[in-house]
Amino acid sequence: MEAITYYIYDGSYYGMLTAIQWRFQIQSRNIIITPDQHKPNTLELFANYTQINTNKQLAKSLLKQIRSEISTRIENRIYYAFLSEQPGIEDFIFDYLSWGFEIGEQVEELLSKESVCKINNLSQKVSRERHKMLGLLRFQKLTSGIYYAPMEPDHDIITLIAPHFRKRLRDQSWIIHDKSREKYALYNQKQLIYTTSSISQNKLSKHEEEQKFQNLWKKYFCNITIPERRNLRLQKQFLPKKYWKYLTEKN
Amino acid sequence: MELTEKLAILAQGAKYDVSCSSSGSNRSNTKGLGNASYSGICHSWTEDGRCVSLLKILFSNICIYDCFYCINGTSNDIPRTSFTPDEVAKLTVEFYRRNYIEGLFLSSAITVDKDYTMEQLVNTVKKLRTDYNFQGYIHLKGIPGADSDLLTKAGRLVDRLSINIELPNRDSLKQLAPDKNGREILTAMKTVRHGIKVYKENKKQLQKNSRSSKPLPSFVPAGQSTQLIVGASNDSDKEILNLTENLYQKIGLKRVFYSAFIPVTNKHNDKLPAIVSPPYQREHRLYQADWLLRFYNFTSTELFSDNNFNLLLELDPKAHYALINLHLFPKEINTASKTELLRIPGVGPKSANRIVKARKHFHLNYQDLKRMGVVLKRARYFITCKGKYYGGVPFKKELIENRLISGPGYKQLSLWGN
Repeated sequence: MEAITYYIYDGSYYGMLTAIQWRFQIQSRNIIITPDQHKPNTLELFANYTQINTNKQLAKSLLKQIRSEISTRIENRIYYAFLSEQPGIEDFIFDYLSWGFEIGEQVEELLSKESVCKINNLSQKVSRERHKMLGLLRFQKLTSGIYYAPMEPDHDIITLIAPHFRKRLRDQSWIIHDKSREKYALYNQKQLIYTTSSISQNKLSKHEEEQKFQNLWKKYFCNITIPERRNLRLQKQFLPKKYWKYLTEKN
Repeated sequence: MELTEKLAILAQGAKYDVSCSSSGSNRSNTKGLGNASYSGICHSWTEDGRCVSLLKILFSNICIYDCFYCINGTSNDIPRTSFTPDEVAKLTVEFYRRNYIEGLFLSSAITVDKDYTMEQLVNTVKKLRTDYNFQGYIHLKGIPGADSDLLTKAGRLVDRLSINIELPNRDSLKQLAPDKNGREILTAMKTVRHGIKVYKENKKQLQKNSRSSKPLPSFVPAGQSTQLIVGASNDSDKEILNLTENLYQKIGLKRVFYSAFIPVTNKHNDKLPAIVSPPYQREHRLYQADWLLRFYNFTSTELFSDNNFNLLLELDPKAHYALINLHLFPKEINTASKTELLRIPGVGPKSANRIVKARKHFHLNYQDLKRMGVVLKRARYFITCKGKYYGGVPFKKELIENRLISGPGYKQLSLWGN
């Protein structure tokens, strides 16, 4: 019986794609792709461990291949599924792509395969959270004039929402801060960049007129409920409590 | 009066205008602030479960009219105030920058007279677009009877323009809103329709003549909508839906909204129908019927049996249709056409598409249907799968109706609360 080999990558998307490229080339069934952060602590006696170094070229060529042989939509779907951070997603993606390369873009209808269902569902989950966050993200004006928005999403959606705000809030500088992953998206009216270097707390002080507008919003929010139609359960259905922490109107 | 107090009063005054959508426009900016998201975005939800996507306010609640169903009627004793165009513009922009809203929903009571009110609204919107360079979503309420030039001016600046019809026929309008004029309402709607038509024709010409580089100013890109009050008059659902159908087909409206009548004063109780509580369930059924008209190719007359002029409260309109047309069922899932599939209770456009797609590869089992998004709790009584019937009861109207209403142990939750 062939021993299991673990391909360990750095946790990044290109890292995973590199590992998947290697797995396609080796053509062995006993490979498990796992990111650094999920690496097993106690090493198994009969398993092999290979560290995969991220190779941008390999990763990009795989994406190109997916685009041309399967479809752009499925290329995006894989990215979304990856951002779900579900443990074991890498092997589902590998399986999905194997089928994709075999039958083309119809793979998404192959609902009898567990990997297809999983990837379809996870990418939809991530997509829904992305859309929700486009509405729920709240910016506050800092003393520097920069607008700052914190969030703690379930999935790693910062790269999915920043482009929307770059187009929309074109004439203001802003920061989006994923507090649970310590990731930032920064926009200075010229460029959009992503970074993990943190911003010191004293730079995050509120502008003097910020509280005025927060209060106006809260006032507005309080006055638009139709009391005869009060239905808190329905409200919670649309607005789960996990998002209340950074919502101006709920604080 | 302080801005915060004005905001409270004028938000209260606008809340019964239920339209909440921010979709249908893909306005973009090249410089300046904002854009519109074609699918619309919900930014929050009120305690009554309604979506908040726009800053919904009245410009003024000082009204010369005295409509019986309206909180802003001149004889009601409420605090009165108005914004200035600058105040509205600044509020909109500051909320927008903080991502509280997709844009502005601006309505007004009739202050001084119709033209003056419409002028103020147009000035506000113009200020937003030009002085503040705001390219977010704007939904403006039109004032029936105001100068049509003002309406056209507004159309070039906003994403959605709507004029509320309020009541389904002239008699009800005369009784409950004696200051309003049915003809003016219809004329205003036709003006907007005309503007949209002209814009679309010009756009087509421009596309043919592709050398022209000047972009055409849009005209109400997200379309026209309106609102009907449900339960303030004795008009039947059949009449309401017939009107709705005409509004969609003849005036080309994008949406009709229904709002359950909530009595705001005790003054006109003799003129208004006696109701124990606002007709939320009836409103819910009307929305379901409206969806059938727009997405399922139903006509309004199909939803009513010969002696029934109102939708049933205990059963959704699609299921009711199936029961009064039981001779058309059960449909075989593997061979029914897409139009026929859409008529099955529990099958929507998405499920119908999935079924048609999947059928190309293999025959469908009953177990496959759940994955396709079919609501089997309703559909099971009206379909066969490979010839087999899964309803669990003999194929008889009374038995199926009973199962649908009281269910094999489940309760249908109303989306709009009880």
